Amino acid sequence: MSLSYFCAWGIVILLGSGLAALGMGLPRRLLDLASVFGSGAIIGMLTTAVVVGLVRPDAAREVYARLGWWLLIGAIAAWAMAFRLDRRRAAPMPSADRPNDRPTPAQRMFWWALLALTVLQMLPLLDEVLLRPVFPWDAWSAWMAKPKAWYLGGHFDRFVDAGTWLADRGNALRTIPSWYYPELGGWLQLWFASAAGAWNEPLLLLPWFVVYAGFLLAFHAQCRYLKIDACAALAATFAFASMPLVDAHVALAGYADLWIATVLGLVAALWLRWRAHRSMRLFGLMVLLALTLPLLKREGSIWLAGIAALIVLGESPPRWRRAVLVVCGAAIALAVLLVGIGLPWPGGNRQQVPLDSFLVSGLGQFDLAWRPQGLELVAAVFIEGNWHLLGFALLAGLALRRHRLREDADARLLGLFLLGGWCFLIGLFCFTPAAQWAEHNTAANRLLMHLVPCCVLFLALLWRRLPDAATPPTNEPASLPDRRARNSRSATPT
Amino acid sequence: MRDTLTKAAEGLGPVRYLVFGVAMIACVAGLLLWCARVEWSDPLVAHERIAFGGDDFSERLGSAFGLDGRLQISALGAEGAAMQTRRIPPIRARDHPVLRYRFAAFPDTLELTFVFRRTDSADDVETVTLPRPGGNIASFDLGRVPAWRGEISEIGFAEYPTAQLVPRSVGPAPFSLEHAELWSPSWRGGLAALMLDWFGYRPWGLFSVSSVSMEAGPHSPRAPALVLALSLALTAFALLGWLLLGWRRRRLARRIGIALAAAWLLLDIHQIGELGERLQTTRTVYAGRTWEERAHLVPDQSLQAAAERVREAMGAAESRVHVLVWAGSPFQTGRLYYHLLPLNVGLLADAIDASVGRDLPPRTLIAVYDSDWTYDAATRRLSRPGAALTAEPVMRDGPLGLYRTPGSPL
Repeated sequence: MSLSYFCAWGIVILLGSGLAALGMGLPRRLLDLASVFGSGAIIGMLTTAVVVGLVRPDAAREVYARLGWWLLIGAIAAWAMAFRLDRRRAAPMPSADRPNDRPTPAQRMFWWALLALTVLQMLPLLDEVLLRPVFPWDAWSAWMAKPKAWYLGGHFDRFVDAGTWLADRGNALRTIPSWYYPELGGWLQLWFASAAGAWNEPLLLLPWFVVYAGFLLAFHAQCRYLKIDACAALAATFAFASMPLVDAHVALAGYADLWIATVLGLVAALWLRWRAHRSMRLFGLMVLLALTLPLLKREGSIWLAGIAALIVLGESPPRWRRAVLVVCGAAIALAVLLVGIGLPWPGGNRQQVPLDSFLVSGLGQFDLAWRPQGLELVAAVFIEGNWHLLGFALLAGLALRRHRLREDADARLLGLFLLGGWCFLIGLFCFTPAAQWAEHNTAANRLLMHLVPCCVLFLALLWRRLPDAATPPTNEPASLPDRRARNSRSATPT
Repeated sequence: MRDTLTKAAEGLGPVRYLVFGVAMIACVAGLLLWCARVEWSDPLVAHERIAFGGDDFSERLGSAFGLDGRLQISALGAEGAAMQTRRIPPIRARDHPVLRYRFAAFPDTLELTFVFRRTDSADDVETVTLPRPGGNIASFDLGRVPAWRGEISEIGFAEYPTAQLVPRSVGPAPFSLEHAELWSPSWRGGLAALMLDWFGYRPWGLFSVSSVSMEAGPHSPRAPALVLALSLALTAFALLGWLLLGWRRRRLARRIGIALAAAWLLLDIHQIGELGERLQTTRTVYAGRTWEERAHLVPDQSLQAAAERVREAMGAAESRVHVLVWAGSPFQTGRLYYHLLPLNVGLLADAIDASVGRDLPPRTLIAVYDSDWTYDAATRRLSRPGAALTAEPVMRDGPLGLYRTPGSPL
């Protein structure tokens, strides 16, 4: 590993943690550090990749040399702004612990045992990533082919369909069957390849381990901020870390699904935090993260639309919610149809999603048919070992803690999002030709993985103790305008 | 109904805990037997056992010799595999569904396959991928294999570098087949096979990122997953506690939570062990080598070498030429594409679809590998069923053929 490769990581983490500190506030305790640096690693990688993709310097091998300084300046600026804004805060961040939240010795032991198991889980994965050349099918046939062509070819060539490519004699175009896939992951790999100075596959796949480790840190911290007990928060984190299909996606890195799952999980957690604290900075961070979903993988647009609809729903007055639900549903359906007929795609090129197999002649005919084999996706949750006992845990949680859905608006809204996500997947696999993915066990479980962190968070929310009325509602100070607003409210005679 | 049962259980006093315990044990035992495909009427131990020493098998591929009742396998054959078989007097498959086998020092880079031949299809060899044997005797339930029927006339084992995971150039250390047995149905045999199915080592596979239950490949039927058995056991635990011990919402939630955590930990401890074993295989192949060395230790080294030959043949013209690839399988085609990068590569199949009947443009090379494309020098046509192209040969090297369209610079 070269020094510039280490520096590239340093810039990415400094930039990401700076942006995270800007959104969440400066870290003051261990938990804040986990939150800022865990989510910062993910945010930094995504931001760097977006910058590479926006600038697209033609000399692809010099991406790091050309953009490194600018990104470093951006990172320093983000931290400086975070310090500046934080100095205005009147009080330090209060603890995420509840006042009477003293863990018993048994709970402490359980916590440390879970932590040890989580670390034990991560070590072989790291070693595996660092040793192995790219292994899984789609990684070399789709996701890594573009950055390899860019880096080794030395040019940021555009990928097009085979017909356009054949007609081109200028040799500035390239083709690949998956030419329309979003390119954010490829931009990130180009950044690291140009920093390493070689097409060294393990070094380019290391971001998969970092996104996994960063997410575990950030997820645990967000659970704690959401007033979930220390043990329950770590148990939820460990549950995600230990799932066999998640581990497979880390060890055999190269697919975009782990990125979608972690970003979506983080967005959901940040959104719930924002619901409690109404910090515009946190909201901005969440929106920026959410906007990267469609740039990672096409399915990300569905989840982005879903989470946007949910935010609108969560902010609507109760009597409008039914109407908002209908409008959001119609908007999502329209978005899906527009995507189905092939719109320019951010981060990629023009593309058709598989949905167009039943979208014939524009919006005319729909070849919808019931395909019962699609239900194998649901069965797989209980009869295959991909998620350990998540299927049973969800059923048991809903059966035994369903009253929490009435009491806890966060759990109710996240549950609604998951319900929508499950309905989308079941509809996709039971009514469209995508049923074969469920039948042949190819893409179905990977798509389901996108929802798994949110499922784990939902379960943790079902078990959290709601804050007492006496407990201050915030775990971090609100931004200045919010505080002023609260002060003015409290000054108003009632 | 539930209240009646609960009241009846409360009437039992402390004995209800005993009833609960017995009922749980019965449920777990029933689940185990169902997963192991063992019937109540089966004997505890197998009545019939057909045993073979290692040196009862003869080598068909690779190098092996008998030593003290074992068969010492010293090298793989030129085909990259070793195979040992033994002809046997025909036996009824149904009567002997449990295979027991023991290898010593079985290398972690190899995949083990059981091969057999039936009397009704003497020309066909059936294969079953087995979990890797540890130092102890391993058991496998052949009754799950659809082809294990009729009468069996020959059995054996084959070993080869794990497909799509281990390069053929990584030669294994010598190992030995110690003995093998075929057992009639029994509780012991069925449960031993179930334990190996649940806890035995299986290598990473291309399916590992899609479904862990499929990663053993299509030639290795599996027992119901441990996750399913644990889910059913937890359900039984909750129902019995609810009915017999009167657990209600809060207590039930707590008990289920604890049982769920324990079951999850059990699964995870196994998962950590499996990750460690899989890493061991990776370390055997890649550890202690530079990236340049590891980059050439790919499972498809022949495709990598073919890509290198294409690159050499193109020389300085490479940056101005489109290269179209076609290979014998989608895997080979995709890998050849990847190895040929950064050449300006495309798939021949896509190009034919896109050019619909027209000849391919000039300045195009066509690389075919291990495929059914044939070249007719008289007509200068490169063809396969359903497709034909005008082209000239550039080079031919084993399974690799390189052609150019008229007007190409090479």
